[in-house]
Amino acid sequence: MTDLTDAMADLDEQKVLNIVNEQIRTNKPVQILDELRRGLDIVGNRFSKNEYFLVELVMSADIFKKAMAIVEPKLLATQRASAKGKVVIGTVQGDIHYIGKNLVVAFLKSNGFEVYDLGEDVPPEKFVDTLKKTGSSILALSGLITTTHDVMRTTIEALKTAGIRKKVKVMIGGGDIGEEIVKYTGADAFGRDALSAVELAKKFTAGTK
Amino acid sequence: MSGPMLVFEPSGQRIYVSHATTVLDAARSLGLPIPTDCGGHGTCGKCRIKFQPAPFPTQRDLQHLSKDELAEGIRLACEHVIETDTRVVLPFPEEQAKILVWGSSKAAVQKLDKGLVGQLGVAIDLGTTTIVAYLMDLGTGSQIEQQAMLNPEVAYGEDIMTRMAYVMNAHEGGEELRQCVLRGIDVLLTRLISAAGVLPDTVSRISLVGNTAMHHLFLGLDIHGLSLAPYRPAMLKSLTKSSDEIGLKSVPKAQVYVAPNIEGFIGSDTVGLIVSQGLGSVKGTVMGIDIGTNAEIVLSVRGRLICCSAAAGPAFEGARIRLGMRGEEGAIEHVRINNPSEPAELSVIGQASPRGICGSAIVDIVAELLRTGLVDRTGRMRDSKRIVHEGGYGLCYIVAEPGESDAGRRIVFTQEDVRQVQLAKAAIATGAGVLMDECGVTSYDIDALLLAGAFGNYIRPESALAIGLLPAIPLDRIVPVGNAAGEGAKRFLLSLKERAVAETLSRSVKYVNLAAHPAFADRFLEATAIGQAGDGSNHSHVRIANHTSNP
Ligand code: B12
Ligand code: FES
Repeated sequence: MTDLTDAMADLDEQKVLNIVNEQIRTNKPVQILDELRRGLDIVGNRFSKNEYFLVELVMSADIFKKAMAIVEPKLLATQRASAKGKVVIGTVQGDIHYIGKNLVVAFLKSNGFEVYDLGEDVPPEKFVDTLKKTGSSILALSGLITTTHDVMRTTIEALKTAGIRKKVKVMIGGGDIGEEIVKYTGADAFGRDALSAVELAKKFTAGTK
Repeated sequence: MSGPMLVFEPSGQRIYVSHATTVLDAARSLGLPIPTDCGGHGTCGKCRIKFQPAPFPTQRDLQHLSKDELAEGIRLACEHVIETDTRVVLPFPEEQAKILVWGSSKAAVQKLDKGLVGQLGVAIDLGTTTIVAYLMDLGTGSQIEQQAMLNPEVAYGEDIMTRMAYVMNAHEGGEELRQCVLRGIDVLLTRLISAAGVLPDTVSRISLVGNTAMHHLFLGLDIHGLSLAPYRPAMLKSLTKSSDEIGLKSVPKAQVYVAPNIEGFIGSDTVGLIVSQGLGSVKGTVMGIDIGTNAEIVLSVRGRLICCSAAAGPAFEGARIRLGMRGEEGAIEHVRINNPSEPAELSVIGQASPRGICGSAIVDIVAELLRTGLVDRTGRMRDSKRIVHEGGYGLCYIVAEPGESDAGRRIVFTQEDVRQVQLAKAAIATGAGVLMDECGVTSYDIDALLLAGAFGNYIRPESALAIGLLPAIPLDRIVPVGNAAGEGAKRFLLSLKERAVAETLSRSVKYVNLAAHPAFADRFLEATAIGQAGDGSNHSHVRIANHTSNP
């Protein structure tokens, strides 16, 4: 593990920015980015293992954003544009909880996904419209209250009605969601935390390529 | 009768069941409370009961139950339909449950209604978890008897959302829950009448308070609006009907008064709190908090009232905590850690060996772990002699090893449990903070903090202050007021004037919708730190709220 990865994993903002500022002169920006992302993965892992909590997760995304501000301009246009994939995300209609969803957004973005965040209490049509408009192949739905399982189901049905269900992979998360809710709603997969959202998104894009 | 017979012990109730009825469903149909957090989806592992004979364990049984438990015949009630006659033993006879019934009121009732000499009434606090009923003499205003029970709707889910989801998905689910709670209340009424040795017809009045969801389920109102954003209730105003119209059978001559609600998530129980504590007319600054799955928080600044509902989640009721349980026999209720590497000092409810941890001890444990440095302010546990890795649960603090404090098995408090407390604590602390901001007061200005409800009554205020669950105020300003909602119900029972006060206050209270509050999310995250804000938190400003616009 490199110092940069370490510093990122330990949330040492000053150190991360120092190293990035220094290496940006000599190293390839893609490599710096890679080391940062590895650090982020560790953060995500620590969160999954309950060693880190929400604040640390938010901080990591924040540090990453600051580091990116330095790295981004040096990336070649081609590298910049090569987003890993497009994700449409939102908290489903009837639910106002967005903290977890925003963490997922931050992690997807840090991992190079192009994210269309529709906010909370999002009606099915809006998901459908945005998927069509952006040509995204991944939909991420968040919902924390039990009563929104039905709404997820209706949302996914709306994709079918619009004839785009086959083109879009759907992941769900938040609250008590598990395998049976995946079945119930007709989604493709569920994730327990922000890191698993990233892993799912990667798996989905690998599958479609 | 077709189908095998299922017998429930210790009550001995029996029922013939079809091949499609799970044991949980059967218990529900009899109104027997089996704890569930997940509402019967097999994910929470709380519906464990003993089967005789025991069926072959399912995948889920294996996942949630220990080898010993499996060997004892314990299975998940929601996972099994029975094929042969079976006897099942329910875990906690409810008589052992510690249910809060006492309450203290501000000044005495203004005026008793006239012309009611010799008549009786029953004041009911219909809570999500418990129902408490008081038999009162309408002529003198004095209490004759009281009775309490677990709300039988618990069998449909620990929290209101799970119950509402059931109502929406099951055929005639709303009627099923209404009948369920009516049966429960009839049981309480019958117990009151027979304990006091009076005739059912002498009961001429009933008053009832409860949160808005319980209110809707009790009246059989449409809950679709309430169950999804923007959480619109079908009805807020009060109502008076005959017991017959309501569907109560045990007191044929009673008029039932159902008190008004304030908002979708602030019900007439909060109106009861406000009225019984005289919050509409206080001189200084007084905060009242009723901590349940939702914490209702009311702040009165010289009688001007503002309130919110903070969705704490059920952690303080023992749900979502690995070995959490309600305050029943065998629950650890207080914990003190004198030496971090030695066994903790425990106090346990009843004459039983400890089985689990209830809300007051949950707060104690986190406070003690923080004080002894076993957990830091971010909530992370440190490896130490009594913090170990256990199976799939990661780090765990050992509250008791088998043998210590008479424990039959190892009792742990997990890292994940600490996280759950952080979420719950943060929701309440942030709700209180937002109200104070709205009124331009700080914790220094608070003259009294009234803790209503069971949890508020049993927690150690020191521990609650130490983890930052309550605003930082001197200990002596914290006043447990017991079942303040029930006290309110008594007032509404005895006096039409008090009912009029309830009507006015319920309309004039300002409601703050935390979900729409722009700074809530950021403050919430900061408040997840354990301890009081400003104790030198190591993470200054984190931002997660929707500040930035979308791409
Ligand atoms: C904070 C909070 C709120 C805040 C919301 C702030 C906001 N705008 O987001 C406020 C106070 C406004 C709120 C309101 C309500 N809440 Co609330 N709330 C909570 C609380 C305390 C924490 C939720 C949270 O943010 N967790 C932290 C985040 C990071 O976790 P997370 O959302 O689960 O997200 C993680 C994963 O799930 C995953 N993830 C999330 N989304 C996705 C999506 C995908 C695709 C993937 C892969 C992964 C993923 O990644 C995230 C990061 O790891 C919980 C209780 C608890 N202890 O959990 C209740 C809770 C969720 N609320 C609940 C309810 C019911 C409500 C209300 C609807 C009613 C009420 N008062 O109780 C109200 C709304 C009414 C109103 N008008 O106020 C219930 C749900 C119960 C149920 N069984 O349905 C809970 C469990 C509390 C309870 N009462 O039991 N709430
Ligand atoms: S596992 Fe939750 S009710 Fe059975």
